[in-house]
Amino acid sequence: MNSLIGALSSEMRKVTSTRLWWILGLVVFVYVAFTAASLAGIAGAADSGLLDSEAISGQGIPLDPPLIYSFASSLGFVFPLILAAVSVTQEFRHKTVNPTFLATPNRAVVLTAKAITMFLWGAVVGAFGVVASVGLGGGILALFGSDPLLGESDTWALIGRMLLALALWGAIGVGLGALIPSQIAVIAVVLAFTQFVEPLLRFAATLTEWSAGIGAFLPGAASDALVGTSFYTMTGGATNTLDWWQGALVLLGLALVTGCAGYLVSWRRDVT
Amino acid sequence: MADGLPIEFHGVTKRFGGVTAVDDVTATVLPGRVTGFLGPNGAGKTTTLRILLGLVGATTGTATIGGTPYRSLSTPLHTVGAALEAASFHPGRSGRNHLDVYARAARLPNARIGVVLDQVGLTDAADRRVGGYSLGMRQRLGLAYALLGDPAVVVLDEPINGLDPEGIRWIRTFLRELASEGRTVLISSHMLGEVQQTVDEALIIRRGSLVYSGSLSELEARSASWVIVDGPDRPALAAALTAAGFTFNAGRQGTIVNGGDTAAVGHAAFVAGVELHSLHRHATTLEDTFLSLINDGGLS
Repeated sequence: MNSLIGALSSEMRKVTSTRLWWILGLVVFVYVAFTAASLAGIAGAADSGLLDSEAISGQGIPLDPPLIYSFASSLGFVFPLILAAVSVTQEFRHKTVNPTFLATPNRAVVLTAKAITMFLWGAVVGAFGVVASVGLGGGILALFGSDPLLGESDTWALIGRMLLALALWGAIGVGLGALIPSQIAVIAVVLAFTQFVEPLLRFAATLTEWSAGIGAFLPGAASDALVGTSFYTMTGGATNTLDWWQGALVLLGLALVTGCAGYLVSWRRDVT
Repeated sequence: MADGLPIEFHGVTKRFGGVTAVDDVTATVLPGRVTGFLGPNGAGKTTTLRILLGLVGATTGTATIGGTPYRSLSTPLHTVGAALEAASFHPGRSGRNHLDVYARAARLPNARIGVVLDQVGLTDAADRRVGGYSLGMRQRLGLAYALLGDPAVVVLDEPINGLDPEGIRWIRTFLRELASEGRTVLISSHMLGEVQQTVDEALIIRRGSLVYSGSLSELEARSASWVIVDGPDRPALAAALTAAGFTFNAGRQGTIVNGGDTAAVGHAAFVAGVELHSLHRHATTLEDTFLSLINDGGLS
């Protein structure tokens, strides 16, 4: 227990003593801000009659505030994932795994401390995106005279569920980093899977009834189920078959599976 | 500081696939002295040290510190301080923060960071990013990490590598001080000359096996010496040497007299009235002895 408290404190210091967390925070802020602000602008303009609202709803995209806010997780989840994966791979890359394992010889304790730390930092980095989507998106909606729904408890529950989803992505990143200890490889896999492979799979899964049930368990779909709304579920017309808590359990399960597999694949091996 | 603890290797063997990197190493490293772990690159020094520190698992055998394997130590950094490679740092982290990260992991008081930075003379550079450090500064930071827990045992892999002459002088004195405080000090090197003035004991490893374990002075005593003497009348010289009880044989540059010293050989010639035109002593150096050990694996 003592060594876990020490390892947690150490892992937190590793994050705060380097720049990656706020660099990724800024990137997610700009990325989500741009998307959320553009769509909030379109929604607001439509609401206020500046745009023909028929033209918008004709696309089948209801641009309500929760959807705009959810870009913080539907687009932003890849950043906690990368921060966390790199927190593991850089230990190998810079050989800091030597002093780390010397200070805390119980390696399971180190990996657990990393997962907990990245759970928290996933939420911190994700919060940059939440501030962007809710702050900027909501602000622009209000500017056009639309209701940003910030007085609704449902909106704040959505924000809470987004932060939980982003935190869980952080924990998954630790397992993934241990599973693929090469920094370049893990970043390539994360980008390829989240930006290309999974969106295609999710779309393909919606084509038949039986595959839709399986598609709901894809990590991105589970994350969207946890949050409750997302760009994908709206456009793909997919019916969420998972409840929010089931989505959370799928992500938690993924974090545990990747973490255990990573422990076996790289973490417990000889450090030469 | 805890009392110095002995390091013990018992039949430590490590195989990577079909390659035996460390072969049945048994040795004891005692407190209060500096022990050099010597051998050419690739001889198995680093692997042996990594087994000692729990980073690599031995195929068979055990390595313990005061009877306990590293991974079972209750306060590892307080018991053993180790620096393995000069490059074990995140380049974007400052030296002070690097130490802070591990002081927290080992739950050591924050004040230790300033103390060890002072000890290795890195206080002025402590808040700069390690990426901008010279190799010598990285070595010092590695040493600061090793000293963080005020450990009873200090294990350093190639600590002299990359130091400038002033740094080498400094670390020699420093290691001797650590040993004189009663700590166990084990340092590895691939160059005897680098550590010759620092170590008391030597473990010499060649292709994974120990070929020597003992004091450096004992190793030095194994070096041979002889006297080479020559004169215009070699038969007369031979007779004189025989009469004085020397054993010798003929060489290209004169007669080679085993053992003995120039004064005794010169006196024997003088007494017999034999003219000399050359008389000098020749000896193998400690380095020669070391090289013969790591090249053919045993003393003749």
